[in-house]
Amino acid sequence: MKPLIITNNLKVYDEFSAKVEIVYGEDLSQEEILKMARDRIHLGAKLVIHPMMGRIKPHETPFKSVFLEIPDEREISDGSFTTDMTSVTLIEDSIAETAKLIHNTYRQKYDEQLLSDLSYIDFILIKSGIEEYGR
Amino acid sequence: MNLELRKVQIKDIVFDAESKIVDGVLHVDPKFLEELVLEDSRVKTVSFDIARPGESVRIVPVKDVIEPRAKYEGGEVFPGLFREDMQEAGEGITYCLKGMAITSTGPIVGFQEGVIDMSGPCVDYTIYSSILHLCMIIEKQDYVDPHDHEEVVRLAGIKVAEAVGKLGFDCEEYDTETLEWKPIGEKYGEYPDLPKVVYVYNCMAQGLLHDSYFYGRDAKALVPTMITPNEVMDGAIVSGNCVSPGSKTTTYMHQNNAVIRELLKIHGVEINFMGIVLNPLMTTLKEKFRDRMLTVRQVKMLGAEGVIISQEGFGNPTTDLMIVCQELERNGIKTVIITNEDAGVDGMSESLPDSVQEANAIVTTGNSNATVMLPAMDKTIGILKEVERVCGGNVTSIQEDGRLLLEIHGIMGGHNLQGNTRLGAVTI
Repeated sequence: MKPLIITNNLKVYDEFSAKVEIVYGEDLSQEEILKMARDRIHLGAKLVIHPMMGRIKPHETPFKSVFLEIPDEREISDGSFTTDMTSVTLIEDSIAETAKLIHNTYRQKYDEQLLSDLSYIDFILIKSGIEEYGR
Repeated sequence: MNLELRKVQIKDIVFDAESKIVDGVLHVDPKFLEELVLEDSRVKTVSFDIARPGESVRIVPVKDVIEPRAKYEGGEVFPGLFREDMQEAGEGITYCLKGMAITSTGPIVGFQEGVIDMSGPCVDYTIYSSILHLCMIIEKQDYVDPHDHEEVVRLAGIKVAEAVGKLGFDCEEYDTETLEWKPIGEKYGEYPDLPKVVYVYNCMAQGLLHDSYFYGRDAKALVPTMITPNEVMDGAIVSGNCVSPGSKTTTYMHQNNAVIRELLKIHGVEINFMGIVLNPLMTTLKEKFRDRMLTVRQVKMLGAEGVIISQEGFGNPTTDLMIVCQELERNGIKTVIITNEDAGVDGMSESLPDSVQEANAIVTTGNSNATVMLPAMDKTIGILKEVERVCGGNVTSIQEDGRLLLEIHGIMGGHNLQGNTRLGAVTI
């Protein structure tokens, strides 16, 4: 297995792309990122971090970074990967929770300072996760 | 282990040239406190203000709320923060100034701090509206980064709380409460007819504004650990997190943990309260599963037949809550969860991001997405504009007539997760 981050946060991409494989899309919505993660989980990926990391709620930030482990080429070629059911449950619950909070609460609007702060917090939480992952 | 809490009731706070307590009125010299805070060269400016219950005053954005305390026989009341040769908390005599708090304000990373109104409907949501606040407004030096900024404000609050707490030493009028805590072996044999109950105390340990400090150290470096009620009540845990003000466990809420208070009250009557396991809520799933195993193991070592778990945070911490509950129930240990809910503005949505069938006894502290309209206040301590950025607020929060539309989780302590709140639910 090898690590993979899916993110819409440029700061995460800039800081970690030299070390970790990253799928980055500036315009990806949180729900799109979670669904991309879900599709990969069904193909053998496993969540490293809970997809709703930190305490910031989905309707209060535009940023989303998901940290996965994906099967490496050998595991794909010999078909030795399995589907991690814990990850399946967590990602499905997270997709439902995110949709609920984004569509059924007041929407936040963001100025530049707030965007910069939220991007920083998302980055810090991923950084904590990468540090824990390496233990 | 015996802790004597000497509780000095504070009726009012005034600024004066001399710091002292006279007839329950706290006189503080703001210059003395300013000099104390400015010892940290990372602080550019600091000022103080006072907010009293019933006044038309709004404090925003609030970072932490701390009850002033000091150790009578020396030593730190929040051990491990300033001295290396720390002592164990929970023994000796501690002075507590009741009915007031040191409240730090000022934006850190712009958004996750809360609101306290001293009058109006906010009073119905948070206990903080009913106590006096000595507010500390800190501005950092330009070069200080967000991590250091958080530390600067956290440590300044603790320093001021201890300095003000020491003023209690000269007071002759106080109420005494003695908390006795015996070794586990002795406790195990007591009250053989009563169920043995353990409290699993979840605390955030995930990064900037998502941290807790245990004896001065970041809880990220912690594994689940047996602790005593006495040390919690005596400052062993300090809050480093602001996120979701409604549910954040401030230092005040640690010092006055409502679950521990209730368990101590019924200890020896309805239950045998065996102890606490402090469980850090980490970021990665592998750490969550490791901490589940270690928490459950320690709960079993304490001989528990029943457990109460209090939540902290939202989203991924619900997974910690659920997997620990599931494992405890599978081990035959009856478990009750305390958590808030995020059921959407109309309260109609699924309210928890994770759940297990074994979580069949849950106490809710309210729907954090419900909204409340707060009236305009005559005075703001801090920066009103920050309401647009705090958790629970948005750019449409401030109405043209000055009123404020806020989700309940924007109110500090609005649905405190140890149940120290005015919100709850009843079955009808």
